[in-house]
Amino acid sequence: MKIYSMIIANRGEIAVRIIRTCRVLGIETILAASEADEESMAARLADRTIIIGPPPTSTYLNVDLMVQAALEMRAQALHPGYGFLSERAELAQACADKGIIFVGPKAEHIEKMGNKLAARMIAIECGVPVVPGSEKIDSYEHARRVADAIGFPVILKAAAGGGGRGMKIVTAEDATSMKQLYDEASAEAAAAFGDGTLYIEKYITHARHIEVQILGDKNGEAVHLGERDCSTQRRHQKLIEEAGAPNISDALRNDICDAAVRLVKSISYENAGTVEFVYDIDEEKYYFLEMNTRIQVEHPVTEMVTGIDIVREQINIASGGGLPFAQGDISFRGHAFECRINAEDPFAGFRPTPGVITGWEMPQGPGVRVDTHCYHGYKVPFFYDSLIAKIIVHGDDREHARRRMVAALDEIVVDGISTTAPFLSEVLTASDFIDGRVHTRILDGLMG
Amino acid sequence: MSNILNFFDGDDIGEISALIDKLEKSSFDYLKLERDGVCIVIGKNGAGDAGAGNVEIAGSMGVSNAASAVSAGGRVAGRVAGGVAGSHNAAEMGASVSIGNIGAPGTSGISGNLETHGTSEPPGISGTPETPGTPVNGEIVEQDGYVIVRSPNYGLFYTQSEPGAPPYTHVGAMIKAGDTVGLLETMKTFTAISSPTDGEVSAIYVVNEETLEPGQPLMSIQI
Repeated sequence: MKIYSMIIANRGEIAVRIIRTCRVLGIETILAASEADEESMAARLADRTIIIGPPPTSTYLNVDLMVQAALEMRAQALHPGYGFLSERAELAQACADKGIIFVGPKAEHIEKMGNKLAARMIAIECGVPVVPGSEKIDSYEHARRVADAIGFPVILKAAAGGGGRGMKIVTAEDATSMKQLYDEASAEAAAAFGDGTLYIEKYITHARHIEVQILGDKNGEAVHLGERDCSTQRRHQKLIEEAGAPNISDALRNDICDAAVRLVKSISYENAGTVEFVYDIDEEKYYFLEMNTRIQVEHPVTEMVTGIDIVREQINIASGGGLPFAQGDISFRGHAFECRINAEDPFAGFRPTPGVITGWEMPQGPGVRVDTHCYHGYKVPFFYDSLIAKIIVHGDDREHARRRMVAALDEIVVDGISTTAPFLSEVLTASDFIDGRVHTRILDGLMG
Repeated sequence: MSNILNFFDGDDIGEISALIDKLEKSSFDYLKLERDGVCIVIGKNGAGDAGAGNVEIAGSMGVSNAASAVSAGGRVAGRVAGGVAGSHNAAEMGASVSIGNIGAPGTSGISGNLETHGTSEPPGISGTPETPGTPVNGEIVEQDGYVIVRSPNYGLFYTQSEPGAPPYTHVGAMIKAGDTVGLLETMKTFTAISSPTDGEVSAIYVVNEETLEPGQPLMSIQI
């Protein structure tokens, strides 16, 4: 069924990104916005805007409100974007119940893959390696037994969530205080996710974060669009992403991508998704981490090297269309980087810097793409996250792309608020980064 | 309930009634919502400055409502009632009209107090008018022997670590330098606000979940 109207249940740059593809496809767009976003770029680009509530994030987290808005505006489909409600099975289910096409996977797949323990079981069942550890721990004593069996360091994680909350690393030196760390992690998990259940894994000291973009359709077909390296992180938040991953063999690249496709085919996953892996640099092994059942912030780097509009494919799949290409039809060209520009002051402990943008110049030129919702005079609200722009570049190879990014970042002028752009320039010109020796703690050495 | 001076529409009244019901059934004594120049304070059992069984609403006359939701550009197509619609230009209007109590004494009622209630000039909601450091004509002035704790950034202020938890501090509390007196949430990042000095909390100018601006006075501490 062709989709002719869509409500966007999100804000910021991803709302703009989705609207852009809809405009190309001739789909009428309706933005569900909070009062704080009434004057946003997404609201200006959308055909219609419905104000669904006050500024706090709770407005964008209200399933009933979103569904009510979709029905009121007679939207045929709903795109959840990323974050907010994008991985809430209730929204996918509520849409299904009300006859609204949800541009994303089925509720049952969101539910299954959203639970890390269930996802881990699925990975094991289809022969995808998982990090040594236990599926679930029910007490400190249990955690200690597993830790002794797999060896320190270990990491305690919340079963119900991510983002670093409810997460504690226990080194061999910490072993004596493991009880306290266990209690803290459980309490944090309970506070953040309403569920104090933990699991325990071997902690990988020198790790890379490598993920695979996949697409699956209703016929059970699935393809991958290659891998991305998202190791350059600060406090578990990705700052720079690239496609493809540097310094890995083609054999390993193929293995990881095949594993991702095997996983999603095993559950007949529909729509776009990302299978995340952790790569152990010392042991040269990869392990399944989790699956994100939505579009990712960093999807543009994949679009740059494949030439595929992932949002367009999402919409095609949601409307019942089969994948228009087989794996063999997908080719990869060059290298791409994405830098997340945040409204934070890198010289003041990354303190968030909401406020009015009094000067705004973004880079342009060959191979440069800017995804943003900001403009001259825009007031960056303090209610939401600090992402104000994504600078994406493409180059013939990694070094060409890196140099393009350095040049692009240098063009940025943002007045009125501080941004992380100067810090990202430093990262891009650090020797480890230049040589592709990326790992999840690469920034530790650069932060002073 | 009928419309009051065209300030509220039927939906708003319904929302306010629902808030009152919620507060009455909850264990909380005091609720304040402030947005876009409209401030709603509901109290019971003598909590806060709302008085027993009072609802206080401050805002300007130019209140938008469901009927006026289509913006000049014609692009805003509607609103889902998710709260009480508020004016965006309370500071410009600055009308100050008291329309008194309409509720029966002793029960929850509504009083409309149409005055500028902007976030840059927070009300002294705790402490008595004689307390040094409380606002004088809307200004909070530094005085000898008192330290004003100010907001370091824009954000949402929390007086407690989580809903239901005891507040970090209260008027009359003896605190030490470095004690956390509140939390500020800015762009999903939490900053603990700590006291710069030892002393006694003499006044608190903000309430839980109030939106703050940089430099806004939060509380006064008597050294």
